[in-house]
Amino acid sequence: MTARLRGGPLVLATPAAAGLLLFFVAPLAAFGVYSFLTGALYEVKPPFTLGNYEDVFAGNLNGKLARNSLVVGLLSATVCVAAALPMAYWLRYASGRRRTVALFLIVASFLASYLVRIYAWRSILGENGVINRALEGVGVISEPLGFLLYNRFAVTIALVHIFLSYVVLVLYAALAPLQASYLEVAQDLGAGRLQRWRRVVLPLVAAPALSAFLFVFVLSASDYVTPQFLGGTNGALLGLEVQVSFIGTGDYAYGAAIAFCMLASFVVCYALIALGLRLTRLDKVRFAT
Amino acid sequence: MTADRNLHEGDTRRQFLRRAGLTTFTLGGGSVLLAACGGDDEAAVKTMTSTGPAAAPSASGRIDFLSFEAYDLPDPLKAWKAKNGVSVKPTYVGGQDEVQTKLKAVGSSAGYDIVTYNQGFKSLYRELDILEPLDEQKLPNLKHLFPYFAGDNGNFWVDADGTRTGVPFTWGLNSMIVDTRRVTKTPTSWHDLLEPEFKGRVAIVDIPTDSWGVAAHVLGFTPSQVTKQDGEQVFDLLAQIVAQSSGVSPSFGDATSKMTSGDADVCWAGWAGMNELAAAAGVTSFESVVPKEGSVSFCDAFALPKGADNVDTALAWMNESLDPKVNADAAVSLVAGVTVKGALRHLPKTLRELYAYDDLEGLLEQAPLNDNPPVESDEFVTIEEVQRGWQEIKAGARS
Amino acid sequence: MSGGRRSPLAGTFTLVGLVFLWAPLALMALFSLHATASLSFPFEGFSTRWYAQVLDSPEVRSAARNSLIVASATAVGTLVLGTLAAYGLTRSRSRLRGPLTLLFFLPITLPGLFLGVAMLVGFRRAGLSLSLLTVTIAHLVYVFPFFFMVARAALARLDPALEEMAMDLGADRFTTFRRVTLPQVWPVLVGAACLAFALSFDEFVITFFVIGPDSTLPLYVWSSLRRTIDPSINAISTLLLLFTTLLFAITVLLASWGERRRKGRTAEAPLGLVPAAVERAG
Repeated sequence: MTARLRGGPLVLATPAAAGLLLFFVAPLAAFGVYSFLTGALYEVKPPFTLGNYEDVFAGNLNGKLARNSLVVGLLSATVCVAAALPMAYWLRYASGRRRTVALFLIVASFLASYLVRIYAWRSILGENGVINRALEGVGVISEPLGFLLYNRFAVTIALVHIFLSYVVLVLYAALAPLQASYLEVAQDLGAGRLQRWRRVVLPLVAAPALSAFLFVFVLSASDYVTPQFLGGTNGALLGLEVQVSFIGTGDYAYGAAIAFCMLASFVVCYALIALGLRLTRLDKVRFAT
Repeated sequence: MTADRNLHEGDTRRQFLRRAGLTTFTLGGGSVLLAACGGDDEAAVKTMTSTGPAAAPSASGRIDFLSFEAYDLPDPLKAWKAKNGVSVKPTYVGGQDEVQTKLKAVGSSAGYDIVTYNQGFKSLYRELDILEPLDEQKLPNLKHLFPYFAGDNGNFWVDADGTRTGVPFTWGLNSMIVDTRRVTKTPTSWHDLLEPEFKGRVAIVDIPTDSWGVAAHVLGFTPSQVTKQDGEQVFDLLAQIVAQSSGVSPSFGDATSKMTSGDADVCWAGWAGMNELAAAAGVTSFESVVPKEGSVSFCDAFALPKGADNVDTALAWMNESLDPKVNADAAVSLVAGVTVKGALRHLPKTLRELYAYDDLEGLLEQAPLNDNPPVESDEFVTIEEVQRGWQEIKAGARS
Repeated sequence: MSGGRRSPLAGTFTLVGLVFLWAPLALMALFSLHATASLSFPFEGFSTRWYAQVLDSPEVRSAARNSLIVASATAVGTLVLGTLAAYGLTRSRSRLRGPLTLLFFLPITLPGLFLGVAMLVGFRRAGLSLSLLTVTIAHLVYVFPFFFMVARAALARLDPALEEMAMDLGADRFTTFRRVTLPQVWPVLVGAACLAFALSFDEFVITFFVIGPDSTLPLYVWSSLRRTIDPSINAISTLLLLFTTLLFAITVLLASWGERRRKGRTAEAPLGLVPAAVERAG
């Protein structure tokens, strides 16, 4: 294949990479240094110390927050990906007009404001909300259900609602080359449904599905706004600690330490997933030719 | 935090006279406060200064504003802005902390002309050194302030050396808000909220300084001077209250919404303005209650941050906010109290009756304006410890 | 029965999914017309007062204008930079791909607040004064991973044979991209750019730190939530939703019209991805 770009096609990624390095990595590195300094009122000072990182792991608070973040992240990501797969699949085979309309509706729903959605869920899940009123009206229950709101369940639903459209889009893009003919051929060759799925569909979606899973996991675990409104007393997540450090107490060093610990955990997850994909040979899409 | 009326070392003649004026008014009793429209004070001001009578500077141009939405008084100041050709570019914050965060992070190049601060934050801001002194010569409307707000109470707006850094324009009380639709017996004590009937029905707003302030006050402590040992008691009370809630609300509006929608019955450390918010939502059953232990108050003041470039206009703005009519309009839009004497007659009935203006001193002793806990202290609970403890309580991680 | 073609189960699921996605939004629109300031049931009657209030307010209008500017710039910038990056990455065999991919995903691993403060300090060091420009830069950083992931998924799955064929026939990479690659993927890219727009429009955590003396709409909403909750935020959001949806619809229609004109025939619904050449080849 003749590459007519000097330096190979990768050079096209230079502007983006340069921008990120300049405006993102550089300041980040500065804060990496800060996390080893001592925090003072809204600034950092010498001496160098590991104390901030020690503080991150000391005490009960961060452990509990981390556990909360983990649970919420895993739940949201799982539900999101699991729900998006059938939808992306249907979209792939839907006829032109139906598909256009559905896709349009899905993407458009993403355009709604984040904060207002949270309130909308309150008026759905609350004791005076839509669900309870409907159930009471039909006579299924006599007392409103109190367990729908102010807990992890509500937070997960709201987060899934926020990220679902995005995951559908990613998986839809991933399923693009899936021709019905591939599946037909496979069936003609004697492959059962499970095998068809494993050998034809899975290789296409595995990598993007896992990427999407990781995405939603990371974003849900770091979201601390939704839990404040819908999460009740299980509401606090780790990202909140960063906010308190930066804004409330002005301890930049400690805040940076927490943020980098979060970053490190996510990078580890990413590396694990990438490794897993490579080991199971699901990371490359191969064409039949 | 009551005003100290003795002569201080290093007092200037101006300050002593002002304090003397203050003493005269309060000794006279309640109604004198209302009747007196600053006649004596005006004379005192004139004789105090040697550079001529105070006058507001001319205003023009753009004001870069950093504070809460609605604190830029868009409607109350509309006429004034139009008359002087002043435009406002606001950046809105969600909490007082964001103000100092932004000012410190950006430095003096931020170029904001006006910020506000809650009185509890004054000592922190003094330490951070982010405010400029205000030239009282350019703030003639200071004379309209209620004596309580005019003096150097707690050094919130005027430092011990006489430097003024704040113009208090709005205040309120952190009372208990009760929804009488479901609460038939009005609680008489903050501790009543710990009763089983309120389990899961208490609303709390996520403002650690407010909650801490009320809890400390209820237990008989001064919120900024709670020893480390006594602090445990305060945290325990807070933990119990949070356990009685269905979660801590990020904002007053949210807490109100919880109550109007029937998810909560009472609010800990609420704000009397919630009644108005609820009324706007069609719920008129809220009541503001100050239990027997009392409560705490808050007062916000305009201030000049370092690096402000439109200083004269900023001062003219602050001065205008103390104009009786403007101050009253501000109170209406913020659902809060007025700091200026003449403003009372411009207030609608509900707001006039919101606070006992005829005995302001008494009210503010029952619910004082407090300092925040200190930044550093070996003896007392620090603000960082309060924040940490609060996060632990919210996360249920308090051992 | 053809293996996995139309699955009625998947169809029902999709329908349920759509209802799930739109029910809260319908509620949001409903309450924007609420006669009282309550955001919960019982519903007390209809009124357009919140829309009047919102449209009247100069603060809301200027905040909305700022948000629009930043979001548009972010969407366009992300589209260009992200497409280039994804294309370059998926067409290359260099070993730098892994690290670069990690770099491109990195921004989402950090809480927005942290990003905001870090970039603020960075801007300060660089001597950049805070303005809508710094907000746009910050948004580009934040939004990039989202766009990149979608673009990469779409571009990686195109049959390389087509591009090879085109280049062997003498087309340079740019023409190949324009006439072979782009027609296949542009719908997904446009969709992703709209998502970028939405993300930028909604962003307030990072924005607060890197903005100058201005406000954007979500900043305004977030800070007004501090004191009061009333349907004016619903009114703002409903208007926004209508407006951005309209924008999205126009973009899609325009692009597909352009597509149809170029192909000179009734095209397959552009949101399908059957390469024309393969089809012709049978």
